[in-house]
Amino acid sequence: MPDSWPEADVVAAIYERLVRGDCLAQTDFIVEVLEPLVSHLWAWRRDADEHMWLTAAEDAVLSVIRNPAVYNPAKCGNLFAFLRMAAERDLLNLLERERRHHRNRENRDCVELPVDGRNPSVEEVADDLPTFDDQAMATEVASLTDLERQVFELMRDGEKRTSVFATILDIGHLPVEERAREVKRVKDRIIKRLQRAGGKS
Amino acid sequence: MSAALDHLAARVATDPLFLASALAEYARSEGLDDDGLATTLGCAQTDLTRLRLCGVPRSDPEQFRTDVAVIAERFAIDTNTLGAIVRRGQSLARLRAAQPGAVQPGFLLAARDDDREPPPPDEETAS
Repeated sequence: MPDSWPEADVVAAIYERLVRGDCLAQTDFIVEVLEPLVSHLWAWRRDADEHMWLTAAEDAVLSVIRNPAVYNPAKCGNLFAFLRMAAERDLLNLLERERRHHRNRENRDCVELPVDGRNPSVEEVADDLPTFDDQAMATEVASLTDLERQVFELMRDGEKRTSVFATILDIGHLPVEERAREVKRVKDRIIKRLQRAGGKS
Repeated sequence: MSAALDHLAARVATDPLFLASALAEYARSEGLDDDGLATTLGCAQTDLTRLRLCGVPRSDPEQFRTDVAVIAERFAIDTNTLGAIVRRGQSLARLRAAQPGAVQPGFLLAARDDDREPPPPDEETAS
């Protein structure tokens, strides 16, 4: 698979044709962005499978083709960056669905927080969120919103990259510092809720 | 042609937004495989994927002719041949959509007794 990303101005020009209803724009757009997008997802999350990479990349591309207005050049910047972010989000959703499927099969949710009485940092907790079977904690986990749940699952997986959390939270367009602050805020909130439920901090 | 493009072209084979849908209907009605379709169109088989990913020509007769001509020129296909195939494919797709209990291409309906009133035919959408 080619790993070179398309030129921003080339993609932007095709997008303009897409908006105008040029019937060749669809095929040109797909040829330009699909493979680099699949390659990006492959490199980004190797724990996914080929079907997931393809589906996520296709979903992102088709969303722009079916409704070019989902991309706002003034707000979203580079179109390929926008597509990358959308495809990453789609891929994370697919992975989350897969995880949920496995979890449902196991029919239980398990988390355990540290019990040494201190108030650990987000990173410390994220480093090690082991298993527990306390009913109150399970209830708290079950009450997380879909977004919080995705963030929580990433934390359990040991994910540390702010960019990954930012993609889930759809805040990739924010400045770096603001993005990091928001990610930390969401993680802190989740941890505090779990601590309260577990009563261990 | 890449596997990713082929995969997407197959995915949109029933999506009326893509030329793939009209080409698939036509090929099915004529019992053509990819080789046969490429031969009928007069293009290389390797061009089929990109052709399938084109947008469907606009429905207004003048715009239809213009769009077909643009696509035909890009893929070095005879304009009249492409136009006839697309029109036929689109008609077949509309007929399929208008059939009560329309199903995706490739599925067979088992003969059965059914006392229910058939649903009204779908409104024909401009394509």
